[in-house]
Amino acid sequence: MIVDLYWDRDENAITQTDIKYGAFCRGLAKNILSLMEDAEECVNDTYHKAWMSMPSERPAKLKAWLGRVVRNTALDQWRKNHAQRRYGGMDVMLSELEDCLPDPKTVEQEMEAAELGENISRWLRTLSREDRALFVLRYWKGESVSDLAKKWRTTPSKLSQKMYRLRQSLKSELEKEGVYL
Amino acid sequence: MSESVIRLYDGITNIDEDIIEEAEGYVPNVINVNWKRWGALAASLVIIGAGAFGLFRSGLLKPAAGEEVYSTDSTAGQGEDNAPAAMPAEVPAEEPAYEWAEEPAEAPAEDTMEMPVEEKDAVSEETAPVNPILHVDFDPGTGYQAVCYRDIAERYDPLFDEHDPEFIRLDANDITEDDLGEEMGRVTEGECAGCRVYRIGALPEVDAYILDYGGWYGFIMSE
Repeated sequence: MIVDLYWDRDENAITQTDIKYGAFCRGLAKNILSLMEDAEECVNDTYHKAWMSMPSERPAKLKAWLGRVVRNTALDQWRKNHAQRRYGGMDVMLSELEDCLPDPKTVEQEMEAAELGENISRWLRTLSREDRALFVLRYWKGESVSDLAKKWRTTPSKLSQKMYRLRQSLKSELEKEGVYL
Repeated sequence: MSESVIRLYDGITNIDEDIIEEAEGYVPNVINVNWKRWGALAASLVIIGAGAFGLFRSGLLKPAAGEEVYSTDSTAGQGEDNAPAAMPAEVPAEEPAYEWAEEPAEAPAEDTMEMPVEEKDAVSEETAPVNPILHVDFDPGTGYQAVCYRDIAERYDPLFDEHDPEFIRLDANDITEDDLGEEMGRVTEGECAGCRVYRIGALPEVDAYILDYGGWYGFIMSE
């Protein structure tokens, strides 16, 4: 297992990670940051963080764990470079996610990301498998609406309507749960 | 971009790994949609085939030609071409033309048969009633007897000269379409079901008729 290589401090761990998950990490980073060079930098940072995080951490599912690191790294990179450049993918995605925010008047309580993640996970489990996959592929993996529409053999506008309903559903769920951001 | 959205992004980053794995491996159900289309097409074809078979079995759908024993058209004068398979190819000249009447198993007596005839307006537009008294003369269940022309002549005109060329011929084999009078209807039951019944053209007022037995003719008269 690749995780064992990290735990054994075997430098081959990063090579094996890149062989097995490199495309996934680059794709995810590219979806979020839009620019390939930034995505490549993001992936390299992710491998570095993985090397530094293990053996203290032992992820049960390395792919999902790497994806989480990529997203965090991409966010950091976005923050760092946002003043100079505009990342289309990230901006559009975050703009859409604003639909999920409860009304500003009621935003009083901050929630830890992990707890919020659990909340969202619970909500996701109430959805159909298809809707759940759509939401995750769009807002976790950052795939574009047009790409998803091709996969689902539908039009981007129809898919956008579906995504809008999903965001409204999440918003309702978060408000119902008393989650304020 | 507000910090609230960033927090939400962070929250999504932390969704359960099994959900992420499931979404990663999810294949949209587009293949099944194709299967549904083909499946619906195949089911339609099966239904159409079964329907056609059912219609054929029920008799509503018939072969294009060759199966009708009793043609709905007058076949007088066409001779053997349209004669039913059970009919003899040729009837001896001296035998009475009502040979067919001896066949029915349930015939109450020799040369006697039940000849219920349906009203013509119940058949089709083609056989729309031409005579309003049809139901009087041919009530279903009324018994009719196959007879020769001599029997008819003797009943209605004892002085009738059988050799008078003005009148219809004695031998039913000689009956032609010209001898047919007003069409009365068709036999609805029994061996002669479907056969057309006509008044005798030369004797339209008598209670005796010509039966068109698929191109062969016979005389019948009420018992």
